[in-house]
Amino acid sequence: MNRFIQGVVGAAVFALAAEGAAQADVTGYVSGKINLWNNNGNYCPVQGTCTGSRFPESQRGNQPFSNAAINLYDAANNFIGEGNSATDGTFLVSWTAKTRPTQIRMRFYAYHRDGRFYFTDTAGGLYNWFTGLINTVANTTPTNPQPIGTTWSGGSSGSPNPYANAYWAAEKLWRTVFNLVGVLQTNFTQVEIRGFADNIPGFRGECTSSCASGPDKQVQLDAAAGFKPQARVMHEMGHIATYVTHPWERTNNYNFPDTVAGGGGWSRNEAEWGVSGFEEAFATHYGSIAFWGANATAPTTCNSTQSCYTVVVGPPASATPLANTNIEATSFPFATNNCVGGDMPESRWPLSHMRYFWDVFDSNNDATADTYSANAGDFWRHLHNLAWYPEGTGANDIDEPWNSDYSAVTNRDGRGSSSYRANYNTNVVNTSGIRTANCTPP
Amino acid sequence: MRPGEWKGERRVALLAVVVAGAGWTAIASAGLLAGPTRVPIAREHRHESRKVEHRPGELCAGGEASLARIEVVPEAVVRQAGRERVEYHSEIALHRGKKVGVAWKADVINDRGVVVVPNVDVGAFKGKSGDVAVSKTLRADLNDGFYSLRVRAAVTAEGEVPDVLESAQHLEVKGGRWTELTDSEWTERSNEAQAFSAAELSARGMR
Repeated sequence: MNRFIQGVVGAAVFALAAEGAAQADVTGYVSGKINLWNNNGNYCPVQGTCTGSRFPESQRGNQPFSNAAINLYDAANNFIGEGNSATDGTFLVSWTAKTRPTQIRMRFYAYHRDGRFYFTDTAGGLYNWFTGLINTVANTTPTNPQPIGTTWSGGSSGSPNPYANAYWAAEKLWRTVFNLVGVLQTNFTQVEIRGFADNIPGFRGECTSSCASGPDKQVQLDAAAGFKPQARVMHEMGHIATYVTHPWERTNNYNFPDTVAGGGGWSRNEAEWGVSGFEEAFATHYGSIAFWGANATAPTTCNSTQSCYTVVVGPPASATPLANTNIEATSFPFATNNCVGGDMPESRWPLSHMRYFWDVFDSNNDATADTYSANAGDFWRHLHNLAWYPEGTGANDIDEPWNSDYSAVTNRDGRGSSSYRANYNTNVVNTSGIRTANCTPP
Repeated sequence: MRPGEWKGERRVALLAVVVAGAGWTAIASAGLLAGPTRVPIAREHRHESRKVEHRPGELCAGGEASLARIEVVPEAVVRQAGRERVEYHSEIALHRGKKVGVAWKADVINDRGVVVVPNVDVGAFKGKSGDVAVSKTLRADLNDGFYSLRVRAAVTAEGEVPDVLESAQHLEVKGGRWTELTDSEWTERSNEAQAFSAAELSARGMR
């Protein structure tokens, strides 16, 4: 639990303990449901090929605010209880006080119930929504609680809330992906996600397209990041996941063939050195498999508050993945295994790394050699693979980009998909054919 | 606009304007001037210097680059009849793509998400990476309360995924005077973070 909440709880427990000897406490129970207005992009539109979609358009709008911390206060703002919402947004929480408070107030925090991650505003305060004062009733029990309403929404259709929306995506990523991997259950804890601004002095500073720090377990979301789950909050949480799976000496080598460190951003369809293309693609992969099941035939990822499709409302209605968003597609036949043509060779696109990871995961055989599916028994292994990398700077080691004394980056294609394949081969299965089918990303 | 590096510069600028404005007000009170006074807010144009940089210690250079970046920029302080408001404009800097199209809309919403001044500006722009689309001056007369000046822009580019960007400047109007609020101030002082009841949403035609 966050130190802020711990402090509040600690003070309340102390006060209650001190007074408890003199008079028995009174406990009451309240129940209800917390929703958010889900305005996130990257959904599969109703007109699209949504086979395997875990975020169809029907999941927009009113959705449960799942597995979040809830605190209760009396009218004088004294802490009197806590609890959590369930996955379906419902809650049953109790308050305890010396006497029954006339009124209570509830606060719903964008704080994961198990402390996996929490959202803060730009000043570092725990982001929360609060109810008005609610008159209490007497003699409530766990089986006969006081119902306080079926819907308390963070944001509305007229003004969807970015914290609630980013929380929704983060919670979905945790529950459906990270929570299924032992090393992340152990290490992915107390990640602070602060937003929304392009520059937050004293935190990660200026990050105009969001950023993350694995050692600090910090994610900073930019001003426009609130409704772009795949490219922002899920992606940055993915960076934290790769780091806590196996810490490494990070490098900043983008913009192939530029060898100057620093400068420039990245995109799915521009060439990058292997170390950076792999890292960005793997960070995105977690979100891809949170939004798409293994049987998906046209899974997509994109940087947008909208869907990744061109939608024709019709009739006839249709939706086609936009260029360079389909991670199941391949641009070249299997026989063309390096895709090195042009000044932005596709083999080096982060998208090619993403497509390799997707084909390792999925059960849809779309290319020669794509007969393996990690989802069929090896789900955790394909995300755990980084943990198996040997320590060191040698071939396929975790710090492969570096020279032996860590004084310089000498292999900018180190710790890339080539190394992923090699370590996966050692510990699970050979995926060479799948890598070849996706332009052989370095 | 979210709080950020502009904050310090802007508050200094606003302070200077307030001092200058006080002088103007004195002159106006003496009957030497009639009508509103409008004092421009000096601002350094920073778009060119805001390219993404890789910094030691960061895990990534940032997420995937966006098509554009949107800002709400203070333009002038206007004083009239004892009231003082800030006028803004919006800048949409195009970062990627060819044949880029932008369409934007600016509204004022209150702290319960209700649009109180619609269509403060509606505009469109066609250009390319490196261009900056600029809205008209965004001005509104507001009663005391908490508001956000919100600008939304839809951006498309050839061969790229369309995007919708949004930027907002939070405000408090008290005694006719506008004060800019940071995100934290907005959350703490306004009713923005008060949860909606189903009945309230329904009564307002929202869901």
